[in-house]
Amino acid sequence: MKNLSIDLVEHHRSDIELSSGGYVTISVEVEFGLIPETPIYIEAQLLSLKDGVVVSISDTYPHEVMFEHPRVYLSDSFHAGNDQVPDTYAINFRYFTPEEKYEIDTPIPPEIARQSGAYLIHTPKKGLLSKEKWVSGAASVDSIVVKNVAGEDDEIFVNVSSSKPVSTGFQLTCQSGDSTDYTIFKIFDKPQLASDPLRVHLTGDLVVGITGFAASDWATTEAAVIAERIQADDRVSETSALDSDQADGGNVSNIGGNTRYFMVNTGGAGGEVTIGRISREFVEHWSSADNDELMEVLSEINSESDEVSGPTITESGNCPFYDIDDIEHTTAPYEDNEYEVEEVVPDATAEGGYRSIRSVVKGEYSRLYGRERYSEEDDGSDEIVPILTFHTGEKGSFGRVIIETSGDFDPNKFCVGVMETDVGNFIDSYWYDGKLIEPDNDWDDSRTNFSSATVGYLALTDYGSKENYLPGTELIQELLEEMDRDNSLEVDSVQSKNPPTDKKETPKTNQSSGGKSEWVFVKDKAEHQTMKELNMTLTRFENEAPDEDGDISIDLEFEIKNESDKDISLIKYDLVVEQDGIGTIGGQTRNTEDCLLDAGEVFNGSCWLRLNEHHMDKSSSEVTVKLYARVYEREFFKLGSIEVPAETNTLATLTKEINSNLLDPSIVVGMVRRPDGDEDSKEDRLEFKASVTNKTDTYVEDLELRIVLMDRTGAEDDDTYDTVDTLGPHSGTFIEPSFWGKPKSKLKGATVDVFLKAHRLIGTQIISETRTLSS
Amino acid sequence: MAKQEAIDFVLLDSQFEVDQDGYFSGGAHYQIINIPSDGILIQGYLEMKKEKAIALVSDVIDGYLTAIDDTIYVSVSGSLDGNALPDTFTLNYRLFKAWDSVEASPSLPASFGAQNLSVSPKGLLGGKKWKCAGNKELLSVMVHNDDGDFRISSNLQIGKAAGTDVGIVAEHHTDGVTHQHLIFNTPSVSIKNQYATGAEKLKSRYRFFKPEKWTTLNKFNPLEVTRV
Repeated sequence: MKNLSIDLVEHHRSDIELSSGGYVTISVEVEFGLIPETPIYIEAQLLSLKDGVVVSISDTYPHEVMFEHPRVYLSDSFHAGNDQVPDTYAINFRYFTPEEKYEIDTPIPPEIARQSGAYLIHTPKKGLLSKEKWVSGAASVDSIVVKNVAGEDDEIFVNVSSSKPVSTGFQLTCQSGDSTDYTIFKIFDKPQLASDPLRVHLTGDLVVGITGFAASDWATTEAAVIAERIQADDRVSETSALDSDQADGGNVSNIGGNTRYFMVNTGGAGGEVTIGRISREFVEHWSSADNDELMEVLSEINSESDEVSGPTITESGNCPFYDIDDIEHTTAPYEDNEYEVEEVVPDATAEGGYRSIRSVVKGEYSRLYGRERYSEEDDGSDEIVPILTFHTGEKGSFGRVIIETSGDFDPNKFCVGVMETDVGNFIDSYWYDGKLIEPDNDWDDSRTNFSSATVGYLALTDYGSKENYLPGTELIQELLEEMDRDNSLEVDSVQSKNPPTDKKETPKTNQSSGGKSEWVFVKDKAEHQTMKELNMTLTRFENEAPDEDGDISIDLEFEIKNESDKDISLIKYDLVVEQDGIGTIGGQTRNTEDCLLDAGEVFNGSCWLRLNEHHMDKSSSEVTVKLYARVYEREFFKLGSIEVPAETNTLATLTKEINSNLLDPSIVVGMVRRPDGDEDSKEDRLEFKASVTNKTDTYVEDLELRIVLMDRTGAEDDDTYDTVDTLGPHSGTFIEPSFWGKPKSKLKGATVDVFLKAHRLIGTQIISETRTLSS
Repeated sequence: MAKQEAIDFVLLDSQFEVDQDGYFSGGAHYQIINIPSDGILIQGYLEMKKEKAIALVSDVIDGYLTAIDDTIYVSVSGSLDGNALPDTFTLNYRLFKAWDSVEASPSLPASFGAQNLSVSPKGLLGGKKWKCAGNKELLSVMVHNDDGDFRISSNLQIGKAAGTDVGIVAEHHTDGVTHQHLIFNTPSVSIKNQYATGAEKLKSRYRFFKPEKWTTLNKFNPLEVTRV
């Protein structure tokens, strides 16, 4: 093993963020010294200690470290409760230094270079006594597999091996003509590996390079004190990393509280696409033409040539085709790109304002929606319009997406919306954790490879329109909820692979939109239990004599003393009166009392009910009174404020991450101001929509979204709410409170405050007492 | 005492297919026989060949095998078709044999939501009881009372063995038994949030497993690829 003198030389930042649920996130940034000019990789793990005892150890990741950027960022999250909050940290690390790169010239025969779908396996040449070796340090190439892909970059992957797995890393490069690609650094977890795919356009022979990396021994740093303690702060609005960094005026930002930044590189293939209305005659004339013929006539139209034959492209004459974009116009990557995520830190000195600190993941896009803009047959309907779809296929970069989170990047939370067209599927929008993320296209750079065009007819339906896929729209809410459900199902199904051996589990099915059915296992254990600490007594039982109809009025009072250590915020109870030999003779159901009952406090309840003597055994005055009580704890969140839009038909949204044990953390509340009545009405209405998802195995009850309208002076004007009685385990719904008939003058400069509460059953108690009806 | 018979592999089933986009996928199902009574850990991956050239290597899988859970399934996938389609495959595997163990009785939090941290008790001469040869050690155990059940996070170190793969099987005995295995090469590791049913007592056992050499099953199996 190679042992240089690389060591940790400086602790730059360390903080611990505490959430109210007992979870902590520790983040540290440290600097290593004596880094050579050639980049190396440091594999490191963070140890969190409390009073010298290790309480958590993070997973390890390799970090690229350069002479100019010698810092490594590490973090770990775990449940520390109240008493195991770490005070110090240490780091285990080892480093990988590069061996001499070995390059392999790989001739590509014409049949491979030209034929789409053709494959080739290159292996080292064999002589009579020996075999060519493609080796860099302990890493070697066993074979190179080349695939010719039509119309796109060709695909290569490399089978590599190591005589010292676990202690060897590698990186691959490939080049053909001007086209290049490389893999991220990887450590051998076994003697042989297949590399990630590499993509180049095969224009000549292929050169594949391998650099092996040798690992040092592991080392452990001295424990260092965690410098800063942060209480979790749920923010309502977010500013971009760059903005906040620049506002601080710093060259290199400290990474700011708990916020971490991830940059998604959206892929290297894509292009510009336009869809616009043209004349019906042009479509009819050119619909059977091939791409070359259509491109030729479009080129002639662009050049304003006199030789343009056939009908004009629009009803009003010819115009450049790139001006025909009244339906769609975007430049975007293709959906089938592979995306790549890096963790970054804001750095005003770095190109693009961010500095990469580690590679996180590569992956295929997960689709939130597909918005169809295909051409189709003219069915004579009003929605059908004649269109031209034009596309320039390009290679390069098509935007980067910066995601801010308080934890690690979760690929399950990342998805895209897609616009489907005749010329390809283009990424339409990026979403992380239910929030729309706008891409940054300032650093885009691409070159055109080809152009294509089609003519046809397009049905202008709501399902194709982007307006229906904006945050807060009904459709997008449904899709996000569905995706959340699918993700939670995946988590549950993974967890259920190693179920507890001594628990009976009740399976239930869930149907996902893709038609596949998943099993969710629900613990066969009542989460709510009879609470011995809930002391309940009847304190009053009085009745009146039967009236002329035989009705008997009963006044009843009871006490519930909370002797548990939990706060009770809601009590529901049912009262049942029975008589021997008859059964139930009356009662009162669905009683609900809001309260806030601290430990030791007493709740006094009362109810009135009526029995009828004709339902009773009149020979007996004894009745059995049964009181069934259910007590709940509450989660309450102030989600934030939204300014009421000045104009009608305008949408405003509020996005909030909540720290809930019951509900999915991301809550988006959409508000639209609409005219209440006709256009001349002096009143407007405010409509709100928000979706909520129960992430637990238990029922969530009495879910309420409350809106308080504050006028422009800040005084409370009105409030409204919408509720959901019961939300089943792993299910979702949406809530839509509204204000009606609000004078426009009242809404001027107004804001709304938004609150969410949910209850969870924590205990039940029953008392049954025999009482005598007085005469 | 009867001699332990050598561990052997039986190929139960294998299936491979390629779709019209040239995406090759499939896997092989093996039964392992003569597993020792205290179980073994295993890692395995498939090596696919085309006319003796390596065409594709699968990801590695690992498993903790006992007499009643004695099979592994290894899957493989990649972009392969035409004249690069594999014609044979075999299993490369490595066994981990039981090496050392530590037993612990972590303290239990009495109330819902509480969490206790336990560290090694000391012996008569001051040595740590949760420690075995080569500085392999259970550093601490956190037990969280999750509405009456337990979520257990264990922190371990492997001392001198760091840099080579070591296997660990963590077992928790309450009214039932739960176990989880892990293979790692870092100096320390956390096994987080293991579930155990609530009970008056918790006995935890951490077994360390030592890796043997990687081995290739001696036979390359011909394979048929179904086109779908």
